[in-house]
Amino acid sequence: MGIHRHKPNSHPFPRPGQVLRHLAAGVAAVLFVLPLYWAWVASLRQPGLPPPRTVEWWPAAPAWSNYLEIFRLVPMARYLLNSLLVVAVAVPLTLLVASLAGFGLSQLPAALRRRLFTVTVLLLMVPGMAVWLLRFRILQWLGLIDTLWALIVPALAGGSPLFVLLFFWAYRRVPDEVYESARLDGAGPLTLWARIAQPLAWSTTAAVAVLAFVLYWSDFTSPVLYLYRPESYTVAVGLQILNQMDSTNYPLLMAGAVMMALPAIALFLLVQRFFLRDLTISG
Amino acid sequence: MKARSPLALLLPAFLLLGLVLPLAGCGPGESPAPQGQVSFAVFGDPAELAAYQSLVQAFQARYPDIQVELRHVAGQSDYQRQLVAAFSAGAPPDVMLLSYRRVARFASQGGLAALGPYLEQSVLLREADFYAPALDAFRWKGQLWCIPQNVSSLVVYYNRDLFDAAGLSYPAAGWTRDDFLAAARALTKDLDGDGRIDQYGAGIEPSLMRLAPLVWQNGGEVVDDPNNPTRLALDSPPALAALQWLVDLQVREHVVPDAVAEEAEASETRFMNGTLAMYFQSRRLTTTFRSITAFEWDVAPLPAGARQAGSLHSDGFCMAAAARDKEAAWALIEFANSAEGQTLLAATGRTVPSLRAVAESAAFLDPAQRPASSRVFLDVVPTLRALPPVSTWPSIEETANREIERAFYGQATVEEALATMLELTRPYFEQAAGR
Repeated sequence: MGIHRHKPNSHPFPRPGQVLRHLAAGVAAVLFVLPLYWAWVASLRQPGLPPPRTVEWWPAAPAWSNYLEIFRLVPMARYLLNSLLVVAVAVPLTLLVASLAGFGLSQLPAALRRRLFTVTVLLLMVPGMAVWLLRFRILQWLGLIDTLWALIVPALAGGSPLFVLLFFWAYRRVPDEVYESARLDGAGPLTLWARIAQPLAWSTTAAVAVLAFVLYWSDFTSPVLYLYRPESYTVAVGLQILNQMDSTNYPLLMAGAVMMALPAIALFLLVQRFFLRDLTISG
Repeated sequence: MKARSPLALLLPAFLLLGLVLPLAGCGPGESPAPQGQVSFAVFGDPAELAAYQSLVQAFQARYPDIQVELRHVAGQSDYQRQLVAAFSAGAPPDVMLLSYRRVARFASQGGLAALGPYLEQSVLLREADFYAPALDAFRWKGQLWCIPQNVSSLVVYYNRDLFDAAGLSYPAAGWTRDDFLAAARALTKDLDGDGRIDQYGAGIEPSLMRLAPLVWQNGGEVVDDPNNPTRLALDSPPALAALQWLVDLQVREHVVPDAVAEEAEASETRFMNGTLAMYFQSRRLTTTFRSITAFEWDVAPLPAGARQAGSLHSDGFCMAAAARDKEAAWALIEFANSAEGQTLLAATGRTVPSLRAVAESAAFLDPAQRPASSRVFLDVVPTLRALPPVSTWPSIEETANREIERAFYGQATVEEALATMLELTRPYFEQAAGR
């Protein structure tokens, strides 16, 4: 909320423009929060009833037991544990690989950098579907089919070309002279990355962390393709199982959806100060 | 099975094989019981999964030397995706559940093992014990590919209370399309006088699967030659009349929800809310509708056309050609389709057992369970027909469905939709014939 502090000629009393802006922000916030609220309300409806015909703002008798029922119906605790294991390993790994790759890209001579940049952007356009089979073959060859590693190993490639590009842009914002002078002082590439580049890119790191978390957390296709044993399934698969139930059990599906969304929301709230700090810096 | 670490998955499998194989065939004079590992892939919601789990449990108790690894993907399309990927990579599940409409697709690429010879030698199963239409649907190129677990079909679920309130007699065997239309008109109502319909007489999904029985009842065909299909034959006068009749329910009679109304509240939900009187569906919805407490409902056969015909809905257990322990895989398929296995699966209420003995038993015809007229599902079995086995059928059906939907919701004339449908499905038939 510290944004308007940096506005020049800031007035002690709110001006009409400011009031309007806050009003607009409030409306936007409501628009984004409303679906979450609706999902939460829908998750508290009694299961076994026909779906409501109008919007329900609050259920007559909130069924909090829905949140326990989903753990009874499908092995959700196991799925949660598996998902947590995957993100606990894959997200830090993604951050490390993507930031190193982005840094490497940023330090290349201009001609080569442009070429690799183009390749990275092109890779971004490859639909995920195109790599399903090849990935299956590779995982099969590595003996990782039907293990959680099948969901983790893409992190070794930085998770997504987008993450590499985000880091690249962040590191390019640092003037070349800064790197130059550090190099003259005898700093090696890793030192440059760790001491100069990375400390200036915390907001990007936070953003990529959230994006990578959501990528692995909500990945449904990979577990469906590469995992067979129900013991190794993740929450996304659990949600899809709940989704197969008939419309009278949608409250249970919504309970699963809310439960699955909570960690992502919590993570965002946790790292949002990094985004806001970035606004402060660049503002 | 539960304590296995994710990394060391394959190791126990090999160890186990190494231990088990040398012991095989020691009993002198008696044929050795099948042994080995079987992966078993199924789809379905949690209740169906529970039924498959109890099936596997009962099987393991009977065959302690066979380890079954149950694989489950909830949604049909995700399940297909996993199967295609696993087949392409050469690592399919040993036993899998497939709709008969998808069997040719996998069999045509050499993915499945023919099961005819196994069935012939089986002591537990006899061909004559199954309803013939179900078994026949799984034949392709002269071979039997899967053993059907169910023989469901399209029926009309109806709200008895709405019929009572309108003073109409309930639909029953022998009712005609005119009877149906008269009831649908009488039951379509604008209850609060705001000019918008609040209660619909009927609900039917605009799809080839729903259109097919209407075509057959008219004496038409869905494809030109059921044994060697080369094109959709929906442009013949009887087939065209069937399509026109289906489309008119929406476009002319307005007795079913239009596109906007369907989007606002699906027909299935409307039926459950008591605002839609007759809903066309297979056995699948029975379990869901059993949760209805606000009104009484039952099922009736399809309204009769010039001939008797219905459309088969059936899934079967199939064996991968790449299965390592084929005897063990067959033992599982055999057990799943024995009276014991089918009784376990019938407990969900979703299936119409394909074994006569089980279908006629209380496992299916439980008088304490709705619908009261469950027998309707069995009475129509002799009239059931299957859609033709074409390797590209899923794509053909998808394309046809899109066009039927356009006509049904008045976005294209029947003629336009039909022309587009024939044009767009032709390449799929050519592709199938090229194999």
